[in-house]
This record gives sequence, C-alpha cells and structure tokens, in this order.
Amino acid sequence: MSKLQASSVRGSIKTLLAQSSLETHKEAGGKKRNFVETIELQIGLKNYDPQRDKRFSGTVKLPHVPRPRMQLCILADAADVDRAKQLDEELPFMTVEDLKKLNKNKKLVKKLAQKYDAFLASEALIKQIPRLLGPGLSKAGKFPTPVSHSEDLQKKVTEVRSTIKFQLKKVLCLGVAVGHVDMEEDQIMQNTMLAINFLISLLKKQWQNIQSLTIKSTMGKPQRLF
Amino acid sequence: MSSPSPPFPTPVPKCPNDLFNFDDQCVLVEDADEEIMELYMSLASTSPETTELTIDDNSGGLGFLNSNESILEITIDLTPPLPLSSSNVPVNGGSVHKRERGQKKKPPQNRSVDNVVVKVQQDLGMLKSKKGDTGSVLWRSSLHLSTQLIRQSTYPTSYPRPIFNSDILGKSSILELGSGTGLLAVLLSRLCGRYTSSDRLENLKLVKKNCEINGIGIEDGSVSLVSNIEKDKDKEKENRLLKVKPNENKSGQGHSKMTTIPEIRPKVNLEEIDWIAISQERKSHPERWPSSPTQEKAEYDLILAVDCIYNEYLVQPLIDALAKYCKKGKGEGNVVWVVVELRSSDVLTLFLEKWLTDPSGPWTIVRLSEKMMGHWDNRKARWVGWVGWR
Repeated sequence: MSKLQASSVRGSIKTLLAQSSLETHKEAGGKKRNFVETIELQIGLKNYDPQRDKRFSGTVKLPHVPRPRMQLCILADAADVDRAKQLDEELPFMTVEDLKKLNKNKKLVKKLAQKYDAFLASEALIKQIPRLLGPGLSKAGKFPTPVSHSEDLQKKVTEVRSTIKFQLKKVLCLGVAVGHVDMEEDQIMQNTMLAINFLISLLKKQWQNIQSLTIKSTMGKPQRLF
Repeated sequence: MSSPSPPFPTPVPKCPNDLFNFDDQCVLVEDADEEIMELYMSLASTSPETTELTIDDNSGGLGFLNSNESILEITIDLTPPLPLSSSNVPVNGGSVHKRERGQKKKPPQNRSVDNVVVKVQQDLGMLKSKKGDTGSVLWRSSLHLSTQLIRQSTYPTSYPRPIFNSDILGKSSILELGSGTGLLAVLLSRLCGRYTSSDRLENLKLVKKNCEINGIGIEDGSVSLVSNIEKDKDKEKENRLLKVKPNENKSGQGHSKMTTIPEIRPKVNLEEIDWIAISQERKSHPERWPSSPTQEKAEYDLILAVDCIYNEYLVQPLIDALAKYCKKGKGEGNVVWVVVELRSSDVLTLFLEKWLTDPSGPWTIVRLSEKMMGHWDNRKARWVGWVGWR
C-alpha cells in the first residue's frame, strides 16, 4: 500500500463524515440528509482495454457491514422457510411453488430480481433453481448464494450483506459500497483499505491500472484518495 | 420456453472416441443460462470464506500465479495420494516456489516421492507493455489442470475414474489452442502420442523457449521459429530429459529428484493458429465449415483450450477455431475440451450460448464432474471443464 497514505485516507473520511453529520455539516460545507447516506468507493482505471483484456470479477467480505438495509430474499425449501420466519428480522422467502408460479415469465423474474439486492438459496435447490427461473437472475448478476441447513442463517445474511463485488463491465470505471455515514470512522477506514487492497490484487498491472480512487457519500462531495 | 423441466436430467452420452471417462456426476449441458447459473451458485457456496483472506494469496485476482517473476519454478508434488475410498479427492495440488527463496518441501521419507520440477519463463515485458497480451504469463488453471492429469497418470490405481482413458490418451494426438507459456505442452506432451501447441506467432516463441528450458524437443512444423544455431543446441540436449540446463539449475538444486521419463523423448509441435484469421476465413468462405459429416480423417483426437475465454471479442473466433479442428463424424469424431476459470459470468454465458447454437453443430457438450476435475490446493476449484463434439 505504498501508493496510498493511510493518514490521507483517514483525512478524506473525516471530511466526508463531517459534511454529512448533523452537528458539523455547516462548518464543513455539507448537508445533513434525511436518510443514511451510503459511502461508495469509486474507481477509475487506466491502461486497461475492456474490449480485450481479461475481465476481472471478485468478491470480498468486508469486516463491517456496509449496507445493513440491503434487501435479501431466500429461495427456500421447507426447512429454510421455517428458519427464515424465525429470524429476528424476518427474511423474505420464495418457495419452489412460488418460483414455479413465475413460470419462467421474463417480466416476473425480472421484477423479482429488481425487488431484492441479493438472493440466498437452500443448497438442496441449487440444481433446480436455474431451471425454474430461467436467465432473469443471472442477467442481473444476482446469482443466489447457497446456504446449507448446517449454516447459521443469520450469519449467512450478515455475510452476504458484507460481501462486495468488483466486476468490470465495458467501461473503465466502477463503484462499490464500502460503508455508510453512521459508521465509525475506523470501520469505514478498515472497509475502504480492504476494498482497495483487494481491488489492486485483481488488476493485471496493480497500481499502474489505477487512474483515480474517490470516496463519496450518496449526496456528498467526492473526496479524491488517489 | 415454458416447457416443463424433465424430472430427471438427460443421461450423458458416451464420449465418441472414448478418450474421456464420464462419471455419473457429469452433466449434459443444454441451456447456457441454466448451466452458468448452476456453476456460479455452486461456486458461491464456499466463496465468501475462501476469498476473505486471499488478498496476497493466489486464489484471488485474475488468476495469474505471479506476474513479478520472469522465471517461475514450479514443483508439482506427486506424493502418492493416500489409499482412497472412491469418494476421495486429491489433497495436494501444485505449489509454486519463488526462485530466490529457494524453499523446498521436505519429501515424506517413507514414500517414494517424485516431484516434477518445471521452469516457466514468462514474458513480463509483454504483459506490462502491450494491451491484451494475456498469453505471456502462467495462469493458474493450467497448473492445476496439469497437476491433476499428471497425478492421475502417475497413480492410476488411486483414481478409479480418471479424466482420460489412459490407453487411448497414449495414442492420441492433441492440439492445444492458445498455449500461452506452454506449460501444458511441457507437461502433457509425455502423456499423449503427439502434442501440438498453437498460439499466435509472438507467443509461440515463449512456448518454444519453455520447451527448451525443460528439455522438451521441438518438431519443426510449418513455423520457422527455429534458427539453425538453435537446432544444433537442440541436438546437444538430446539425451536430457526434463532436466534444466546446468547453469540454470544452480538455485534449483535443492529439489527432490525429478521424474525422468525413459525411452522416447517427448516432442512438441508448434503451429501458428490465429483464431481471428480463422474467424475471418469462415466469414468469407462459410462453405468450408460444413455441418454435415466429412470423410476427412481428423488430424487431432483432442482439441484443448485452457483458460482461453475471458473477453467477448474472442468468443466467436474461438468457436470458429473449435469448429475448424473438430470434425463431425459418426462414432469416430474427435472432441474438444474447454477448461476455463470462472471469472466473468457474462462472457462465459455468451460463449456457451454461441457454442450451443453454432451453425456447425449441433454440439453435444458435457460438463465434467467436480470430482473428476479435482480441487485446487485443497480448496474448491473455481473452474469448469466442458467436453464437446459435433
């Protein structure tokens, strides 16, 4: 991480938080919004030909949940329906019967894909789900994460909420959520540094592929890190 | 579109030239989206745990082993697998040692240990300077694949269902598309009857170099890469098998003994094959890609493409190349084996869609089971192997 001073990253995070906090937004020149702003890491790449180079894609689990209100849904067998109902915060579910009702209808599957940010699926259903749903979910890049009956469902939910995905499409920029403005400065710091480190490891020429790194809250001003 | 899914998966047909042994977990691929979704879902069933701590590990990232060393020394651990029940999988994969560190694994004393040591020259200049030259470094799927195949051929009794039918493999002629560094040429040429490495001309130099470093002979094919001086050098090395040149061996001496293959010295053919040129040829002369069976005897028994799918622009050219070399025949046709790391799902979906619907088909595509493809150093493998024929 020689390219990036931890102290300057911390400084940017401080500025960002100050601008969106109720107490300090006036002095800092920002504004307090009526919702919890998400903090996004925005990346500009260079020396990369998205038409020809290997497309990277990678997921990494952050130490702190960046998007606690991420909407999840489990495609569940009978046992997992019960488990989903018993969670402190009930997890929305779809049974095999519900999925069959969609009848591979593209519009309905697309609607389902848009309604939730991510999906879980009972492990026993891995082979069935692709046939039941058709291409809708995968087109949206929302492959369900399998969960087995031996895994703690609540843990799995947290894990999925903490996992961010880097995926290069046809343009040279990408963004990932690394936190929100109600998090501690240290937590944002840890998430941001981990996300950047992981991203660098994905790139063919490491830092030579980075044009810019910026963090930004949903409504706030961009803070350039690199 | 809305036809009800059959209650049982369609049985997997037999491999036309018996080269592959399909087991009961192999799956006939019928729909690109369903196949990709299933693959990525089963990939995700372990991935959050395994990717958590892999920042400076090899399992994250694009999939190259090491893009900082110009010569990699690779030790493929051929410790015999423990006596197995049928459900066992190999536990040790290949491991890479950086040259300077000179680390070595202590071979277990009580077993006869054979490690295969291979050096791979990478062209880092090419990787860093030019756009899109992915063939100049070693990608991990090649290493894992060769490890798996060599282990299976070394310990046939431990693998009741090896990927290849070894009797047939020994007589087979293999064409590899997109050879890159040529690691597979170095390691697999001694398992099969005839091995042809192909790539674009720029990359073939690297293949040739790596064959030379590892004492694999080059048969002069249509490509005149070989200058006369180097031919003489080739002769000098005639008797060395899989041994590196003495002056390059200094740092590698600590390794356990190398497998030497008696009798015939393996040879590799080099051939320049540019998929984009093939693609253009197909566009202008579609009649040369007949979909009906040809009388022509196939030149190769197996067409191998390892980690060659990574960007949309190469998908159609690769399929054109597969269609060119894979002949349609009743019962005696040859087969294609595509092995690819699971990276961008969009690109893989596109590839499968195009492959399944290519006018040269219909293609029959079978996904090899996870058990056959093996693990990656004790971890879930992030790849898929499809065998196809038409």
